Amino acid sequence: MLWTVVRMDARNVRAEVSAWLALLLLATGVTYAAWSGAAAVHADRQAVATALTEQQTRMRDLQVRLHAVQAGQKQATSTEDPSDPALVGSTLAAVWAVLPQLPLASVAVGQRDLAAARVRITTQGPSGRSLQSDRPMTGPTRLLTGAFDLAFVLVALLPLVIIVLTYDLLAGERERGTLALVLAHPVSLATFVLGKALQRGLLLGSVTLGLALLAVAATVDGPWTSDDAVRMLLYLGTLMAYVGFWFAAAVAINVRGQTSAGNALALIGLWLALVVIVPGIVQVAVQATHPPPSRVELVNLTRAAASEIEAELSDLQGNHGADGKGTPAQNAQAATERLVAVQVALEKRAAPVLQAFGTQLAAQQALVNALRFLSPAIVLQEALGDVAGNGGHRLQQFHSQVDEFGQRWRNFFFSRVSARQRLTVADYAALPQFVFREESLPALGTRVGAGLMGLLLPTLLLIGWAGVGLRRGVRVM
Amino acid sequence: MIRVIARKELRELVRDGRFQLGGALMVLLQVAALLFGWRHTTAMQAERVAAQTVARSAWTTQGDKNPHLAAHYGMYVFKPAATLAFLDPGTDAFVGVTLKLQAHEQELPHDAAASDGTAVGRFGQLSAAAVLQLLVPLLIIALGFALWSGERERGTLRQLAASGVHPRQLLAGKALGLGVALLLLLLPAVLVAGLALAVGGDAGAWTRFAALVPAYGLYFGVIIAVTLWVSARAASSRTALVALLGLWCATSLVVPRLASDVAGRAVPLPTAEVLARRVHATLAQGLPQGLPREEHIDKISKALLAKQGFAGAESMMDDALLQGLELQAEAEYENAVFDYHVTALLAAMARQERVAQWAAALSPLLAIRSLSMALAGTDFDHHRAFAQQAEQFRRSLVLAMNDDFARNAGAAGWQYKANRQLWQQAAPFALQPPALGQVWADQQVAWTMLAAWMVAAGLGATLAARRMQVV
Repeated sequence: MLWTVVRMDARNVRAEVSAWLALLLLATGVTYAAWSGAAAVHADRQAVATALTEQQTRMRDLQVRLHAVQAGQKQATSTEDPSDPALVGSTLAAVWAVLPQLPLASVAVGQRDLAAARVRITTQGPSGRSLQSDRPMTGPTRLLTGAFDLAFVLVALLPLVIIVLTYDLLAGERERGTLALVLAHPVSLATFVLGKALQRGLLLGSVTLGLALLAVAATVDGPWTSDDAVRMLLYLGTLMAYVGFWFAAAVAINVRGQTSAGNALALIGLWLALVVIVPGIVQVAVQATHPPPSRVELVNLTRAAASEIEAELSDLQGNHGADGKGTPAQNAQAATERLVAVQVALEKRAAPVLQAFGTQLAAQQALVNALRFLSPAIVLQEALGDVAGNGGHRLQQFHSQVDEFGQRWRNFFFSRVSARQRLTVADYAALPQFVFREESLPALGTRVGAGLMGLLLPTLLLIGWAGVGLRRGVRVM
Repeated sequence: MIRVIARKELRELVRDGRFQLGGALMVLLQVAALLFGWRHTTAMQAERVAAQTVARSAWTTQGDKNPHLAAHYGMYVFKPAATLAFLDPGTDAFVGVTLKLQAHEQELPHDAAASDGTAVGRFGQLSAAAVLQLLVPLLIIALGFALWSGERERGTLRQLAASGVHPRQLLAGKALGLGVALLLLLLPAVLVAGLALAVGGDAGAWTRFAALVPAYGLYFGVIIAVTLWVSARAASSRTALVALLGLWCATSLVVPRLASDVAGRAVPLPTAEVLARRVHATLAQGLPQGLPREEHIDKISKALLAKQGFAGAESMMDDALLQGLELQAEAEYENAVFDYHVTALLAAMARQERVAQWAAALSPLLAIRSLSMALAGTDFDHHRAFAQQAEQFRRSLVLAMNDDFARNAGAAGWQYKANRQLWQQAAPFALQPPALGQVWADQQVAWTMLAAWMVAAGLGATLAARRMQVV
């Protein structure tokens, strides 16, 4: 019997213009978002490639020059001496720390357009980090609006398509007078509703799944590992659970026996609450209880704490090479050593401030993690950011690894400055290299899996509620 | 007659459960958003004022040193928060607020608050402006979709037609009833906002607030007219509702992001690194189609000398004067390079904004959003004004330092040290937000579009009311 209902409803849907239109719009949206996302990822990869090529050439040149200087063929100028550890560490050999793009990167822009995912590492200290990062420049109004990425289509638009397909699931039959007719046949109300919901759910589920797969398949870029397969599964699983949630909500609302206009309003109200209002309130709550640490204050804290040190630093930098006493070489060495000492002191004073800053950011993220269960939309948004590798977690990890690496970089050069050593060819081979350590798969799986549970639980509750309503029966006229 | 109809519609609306529930929720959200916005804005402003004071004292107490070294030491400026940001925070969280002003470098404002945000930030902010722009239209739709179609379905439209009331009067009455109902819901928010302004607003803020009110009035007028239009044309209330909700989704969700995406494609921007590399290359080599660096600086230097009446008399001048002038020539050369790249970048960003603004032809939300941010002083144009004024301030600061070097260093040369007196002579940075007339001119596309929407929707609603089928 269920199968008969499914087949009947399939014929119904095929005749509905609005259903076709909604599905077409969904397909168009997904296609555009996938294309646009892939283009952005591609441009980003190219920018990284260009930067890395430039870096490679620069490093090779430095080593060639170092060979020449050591062989005595060439005199090094003081501003381009490849054996001067202070100079090489602060400018000549500046390296990029890059957060690699994952194959699923085009799924969600996440925080990548806001937070730095490429940082130029020099010995210049952590307080300047934000200045030395690179990212595509985006006008502030565009950042405010948000990207038209796959995540937007799936989180915000997909539920609307589901609403179009389901708001008159039962009410439409009643309003057309066909519900009484159908129920006069040997079919239970529950079977009828289940059949219809199943048919539309399967239709939309398979279309969404197909589109989501196609979008990713067409845009996947880079090597594919087993970890990526797990991410893919998490992506599709969470997406399907999200679709399930909205279908369950639609059925539950249909069973209440309102008119189709009333259902549409109730569903839009729910959509508004979960996609606009709750995320807005969560953001306000996060801001009120865990105010994002202020960078403005950070600037002053670092500056005030180190004001006299920094003054000395700028004295040294702005001197334009005219100081007076001592031979130029002696002056230069003394100045460099003072500079390093100043920087080490500066860093020591800034460290606790930066530490507190990082802790606060982590606390903020943890709160969002807990509050995301208030809205399936937040769960999906976070999950998509996570699998795309552009979520807050991965970026925060990147930033802490960058800080760590910056420390290693400074130690490498500062130790040589203090020991008055020149850089050798062997030193160049031993330069610290930045390699991003990915979050372990179990940790990612646990977080996204918890989100999945957070989608399935309300879905089950809604189904239960709908079941109770069905058992009580509905108006047929 | 119109008054009678309006009063009848209003009474019906106020008794409607949807109005009571939706209205109560909206008032609650409005007031909460305003209060939170006010708290947030005042805290932010206090923080920036405090930071500015600290930064100023760091500058004035930097100790005795050579003025050019002082220019290297530099000064931090922080972007002051706009008073009306509590109504519409606009792009506030997405623009940098910190700038270090120093010799030889032009920075773009950095430290945007959103870069430390989380994924929930991507859903948009729950500000009073967002409630007005996004949620109020939905409420209007929910209250008004059946205003015509419902009458027809209940059979009362035929009676009305028989009573000889002109459709235009009916339309005006319905629109007025809906408008007054809306006004009742918005009044608490207006009062709260007014109260906040009475506490902490200046005359400028009041003027801008006064300009915001009719702008939003026009926006709601558009939504009311479109709602009545669709309600009159639709075959049934259900169709009217679905069509209106579809329109809302398209204009509030899809068009803004799509327009933003298209604008990004139409006016591509370099990455931060590419820009930095270009600036450095130009600094080292000279402007394209211009003189090489050294010749260019030499030319400026000669011009400066000539201006001071020393042309051809370099050998008679003291060293410090020459060096001070050379430093200034170098600074002016750098300024030309910054003008070439950075000012061009800001202009490109502004062009991007204009492209997106044209999409207001497809979505009245884009028009009101743009107007609202501009009047609140939180849009990109206001940010650009900050970046440009800060840069002008930097240039005059560097000039003052180099000038002092040239005038007073004398035989001491680089050993010459200026003191607190000079540091204090540099006036603190004070931001002059664009005047209202300027805002008006910048927002021409937005308000023209909004007015066009009003005319089109009003005409559509009138025609639809006149041609309506009564059964």
